[in-house]
Amino acid sequence: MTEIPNLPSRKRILVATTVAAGVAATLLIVAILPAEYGIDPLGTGRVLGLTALAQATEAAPDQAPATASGVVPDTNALAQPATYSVDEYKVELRPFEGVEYKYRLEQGESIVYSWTSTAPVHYEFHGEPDGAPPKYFDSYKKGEGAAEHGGFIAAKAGIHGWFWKNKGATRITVTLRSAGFYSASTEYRDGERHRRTFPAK
Amino acid sequence: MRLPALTRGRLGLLALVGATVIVCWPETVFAHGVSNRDAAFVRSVRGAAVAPFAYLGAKHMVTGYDHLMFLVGVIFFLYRTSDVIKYVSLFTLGHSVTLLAGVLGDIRANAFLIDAVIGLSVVYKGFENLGGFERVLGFRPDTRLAVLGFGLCHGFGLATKLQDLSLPPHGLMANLLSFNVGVEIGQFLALTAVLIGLAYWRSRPGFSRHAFGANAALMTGGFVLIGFQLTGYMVNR
Repeated sequence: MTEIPNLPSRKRILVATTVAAGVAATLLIVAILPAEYGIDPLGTGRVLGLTALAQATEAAPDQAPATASGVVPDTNALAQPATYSVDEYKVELRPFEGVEYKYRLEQGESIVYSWTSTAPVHYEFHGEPDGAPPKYFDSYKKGEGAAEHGGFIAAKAGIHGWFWKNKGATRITVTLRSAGFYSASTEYRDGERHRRTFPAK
Repeated sequence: MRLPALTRGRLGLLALVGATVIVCWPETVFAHGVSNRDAAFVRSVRGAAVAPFAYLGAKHMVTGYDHLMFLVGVIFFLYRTSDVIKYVSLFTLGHSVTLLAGVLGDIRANAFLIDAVIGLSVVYKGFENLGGFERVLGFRPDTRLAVLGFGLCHGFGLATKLQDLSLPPHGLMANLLSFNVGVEIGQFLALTAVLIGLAYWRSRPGFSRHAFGANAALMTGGFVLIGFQLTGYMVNR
């Protein structure tokens, strides 16, 4: 380790350290905290318009592109194949465990669903279209919550469903109920896949 | 001043190329952590994906300004290549251990607190480079131990970033090692750029005067990181 040729004086070092801390505190209070967290003790964030940055991140969570574009037919009466099925899926998740459960849907086929969890859970509703490159998926909706209910029409043929992950320290149970025009579902858990088929009614 | 084979003109050119690599890297500077798109990718991965994880590791390092600031501090006054290798190896050893142990052992540290400690490591190194420990405290703690210790903290920071991504268990080991290899590649790229820049700077007159200001600036950056992360911790608690 090479020594600094002429070590600066004690006073100079202390002044530099104080100035560094002071400049840092000023930057934080004037610009960074207002822009990042919306904390604006001096009102500088509002004057400079920086608090808008913090508000934007809070108002726009990731749950953007949900619906399938361009596929929803003009008519409200939607013909469907004769593969109508009803399903209930219940899974217990250990702390930090995740699971995926997806339905096989052809283009234009639909489901209605409702899932609940015994505690808030991280989820992402997504689909893997047929013929897409490995690891590709479309995200429909994601977030944190203890329940979600909705309907879905597949824009592309493929498998569509949920990823749930328990981010808490206790075991939780997720229960999904759905009805729709699927003939099979697949569960992905611990690196294994379990396929369920629904007999035609 | 080593690197005698390189003329000043070439050094300047190389520094420019190095800086360009960093600046042109996607989402540089403000994309700390891993972007949403990358996070979506990671969650969707099933099985080993060596190249993508190595890329993410390298990207995290090259765009992770806190790691880079610390590394700049570490090698600021290292003139001998052997010293650079020695200290960087200690840092690498430290962060590899905690990255692997953190993810595999599912040890969860608060990301804000870890990042605040990383900020502290930057302040510490800047202060040490100013000669603060000798002048103010009368002794200097062993730099090797400090670099190793802060390396351990930086590894925990990397581990928390990876854990945030909800890593699928399938192929975890391969993906984790790929990420770690990527981190080393990114560190090597960044170090090369920094070393070339420093070598050029040292060859200029007035380096020792500028060095004082540079390390004070480094401390400023570290203080900003500490304040930013601690506030984040309190806001998100």
